[in-house]
Amino acid sequence: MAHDLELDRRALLTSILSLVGAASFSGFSMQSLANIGPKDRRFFSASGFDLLSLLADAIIPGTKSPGALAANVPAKLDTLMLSWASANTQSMVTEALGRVETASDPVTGKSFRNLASDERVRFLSDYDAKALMPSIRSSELSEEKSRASSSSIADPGYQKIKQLIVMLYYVSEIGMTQERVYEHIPGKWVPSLEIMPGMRPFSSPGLL
Amino acid sequence: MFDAVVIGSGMSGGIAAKELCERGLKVLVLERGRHIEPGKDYTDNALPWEIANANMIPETELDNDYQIQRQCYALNESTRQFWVKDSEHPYTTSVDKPFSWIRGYHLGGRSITWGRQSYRLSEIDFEANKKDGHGVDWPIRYKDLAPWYSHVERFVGVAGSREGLSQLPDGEFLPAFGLNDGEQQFKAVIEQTFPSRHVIPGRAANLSVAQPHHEELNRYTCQNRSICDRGCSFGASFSSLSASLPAAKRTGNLTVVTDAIVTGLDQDPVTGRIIGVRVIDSNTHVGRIYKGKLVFLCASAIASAAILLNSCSDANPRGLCNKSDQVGRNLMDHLFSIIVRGMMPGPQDSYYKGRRPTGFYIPRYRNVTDSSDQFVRGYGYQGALMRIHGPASARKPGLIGEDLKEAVRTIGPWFGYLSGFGEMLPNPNNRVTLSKSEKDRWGVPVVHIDCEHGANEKAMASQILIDGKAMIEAAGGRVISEASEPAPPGLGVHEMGTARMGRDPNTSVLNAWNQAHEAPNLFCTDGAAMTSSGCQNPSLTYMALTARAADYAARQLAEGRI
Repeated sequence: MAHDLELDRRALLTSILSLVGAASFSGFSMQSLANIGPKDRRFFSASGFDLLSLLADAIIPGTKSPGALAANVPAKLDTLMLSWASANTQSMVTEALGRVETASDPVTGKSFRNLASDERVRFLSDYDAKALMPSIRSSELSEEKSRASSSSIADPGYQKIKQLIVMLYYVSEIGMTQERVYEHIPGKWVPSLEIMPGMRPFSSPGLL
Repeated sequence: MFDAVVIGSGMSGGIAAKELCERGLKVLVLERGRHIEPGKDYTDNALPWEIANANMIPETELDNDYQIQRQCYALNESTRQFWVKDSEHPYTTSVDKPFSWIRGYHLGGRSITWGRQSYRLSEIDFEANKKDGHGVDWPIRYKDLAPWYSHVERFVGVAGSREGLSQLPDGEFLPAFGLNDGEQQFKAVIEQTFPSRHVIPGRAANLSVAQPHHEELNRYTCQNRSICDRGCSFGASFSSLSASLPAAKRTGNLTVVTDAIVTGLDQDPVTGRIIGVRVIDSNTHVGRIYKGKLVFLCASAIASAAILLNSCSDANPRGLCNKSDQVGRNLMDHLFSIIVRGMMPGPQDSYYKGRRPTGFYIPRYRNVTDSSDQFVRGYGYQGALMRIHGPASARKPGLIGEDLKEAVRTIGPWFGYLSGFGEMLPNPNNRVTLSKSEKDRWGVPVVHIDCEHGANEKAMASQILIDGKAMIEAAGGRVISEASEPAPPGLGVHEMGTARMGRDPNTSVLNAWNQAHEAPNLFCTDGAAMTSSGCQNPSLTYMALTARAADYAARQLAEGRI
């Protein structure tokens, strides 16, 4: 088809600036999806969703800043399982979640969900360390190769679910703007900036 | 009948359209992909937490539709509209010779998603083939192209620093995006330890300070967002859509037709002139023929070769302009993805603000000042130093809870990487042909690519890694990982050489003006024209060659010589 070029960038720019100023956005978004609560979950069972919420809260708790629950990470992960994850990833995540639930019993005498909050954190810290332990000595495998090989981590399923929880939190508005500092339009490049006490790092769209 | 038909709307096609339109020619641009509307297709306005699936493409789609494109770092949910689905655009490769053909079919082509690194070739590069005997001699030298580099740089807007290096000539630069304090420290140590090596700001086609002639095209100063490949609504990142097509449009001489797949060119057997550009509408599959006094072939190196090869006739059974049998041969890409990463020393009280659209560059020194007896030609490095923080800090086993949050919000140690880009020699056995049996959904033979790195590239790759480690360690860093094997050819996204320029019609396809030896009104100015690859990112050279060829063609046409 033949047509005129529609390259009115000035109008587009005005639109962007107003969007950023208004901090609002219409249409499909992770934020809108995140507003679905446990009643609207679609992938996890009610029991699984509760377990996921406990796990997310233990990994990124609310402290002086909001945590994973405030950032709706469980609901976002529920959505992600259907809109993004392959069947293999879905299985990895659900099975890993089940292992977390049962692994605490031999250690603590209680299932993960029945642990008190402080017990849960103590258990998960040990569990996380073992689950993410490289199964091949790092000196035998470059970092890239070890990342590419799921067999290089003791529990790839747990690694996946933790990565997703952490990623969804730090890509959320809370994670990007309250835990760190995000400027969608930074403006000038400042190559040298003195670090002052209490300064938070900048977050970036690339998750660095 | 148009004065000129330009095939392709990307880096080269955009500049061809601009230059020809500005010389008063009525120009038709044919783009095989769809139209792009910045307001709808650019995603740079989306805040990170608003992007579907946390900016990840669904895994099953990646597996089914993006088997090749997924190898490119820039493919994600917010840029997926700028990449082809491999499932819809198949090609074949020889067994054990993978080639990653990274593409986008839409108005503006890969000029939207390119890395914007912009470096001139030097006299060393234009003389290389003649001196060491690989390939054929370039029919031009640096002095022939230098004014056109300047012409293009002023229009494009290239941020960079003047360094006075013979192997990397200076240009018409906007102010550089300066090195951060970690990089300044790295630069000082490297340049003291290795006096022939230089750590300079990357030269990038981003408007560090927009000039009036940029603002006339609604292009504004870069806002340091580093999401250029989503489409830049500020127009600060150079693309055909931000600059060259709008410049062509304002002349009133431009017509653009999208969804138009060029399948071949028709040649007058008597005059040799191209008399028709055959097109299939990608939506209706209806065929059409466009006519132009000039034809500029700018479809990209592999696609341009495929168009010539598919233009076979009784008179040209091997394809158009292919009496030399060089069409499709000498396919090159830069050695890519040989990377060394390290934890680096650096000033602990220093940080930076903004996300500049480039890093640093270490220009070639091998076989310039530092000789090698293992290989000819050389390589440069792109790299950067940055403070570690963010989710990358959360990977330590056992790290959860407040400790994890504290690690992520801490401005961590300096991290650095060096990524080598090496020259690939022209080799006639690295080639593009057309399948005799497989056709795409439009009935066009699919491309077959037969390409591999040779002994020179393999020796060079080893040295890239050795030098990279040595520099990280010399600067006091600790190497933490390396990518020691180059990526398959193609992943550098610098395909070149398939219709090379040369002095002899028996060994080349194009002359010193990018004019086909066998078709006087046909000019090919994309990567296909490159007689050698250098190690510098090549788009600036494509654009300079295009502007020079357009000026020549327009003058020849005005004088009645074409």
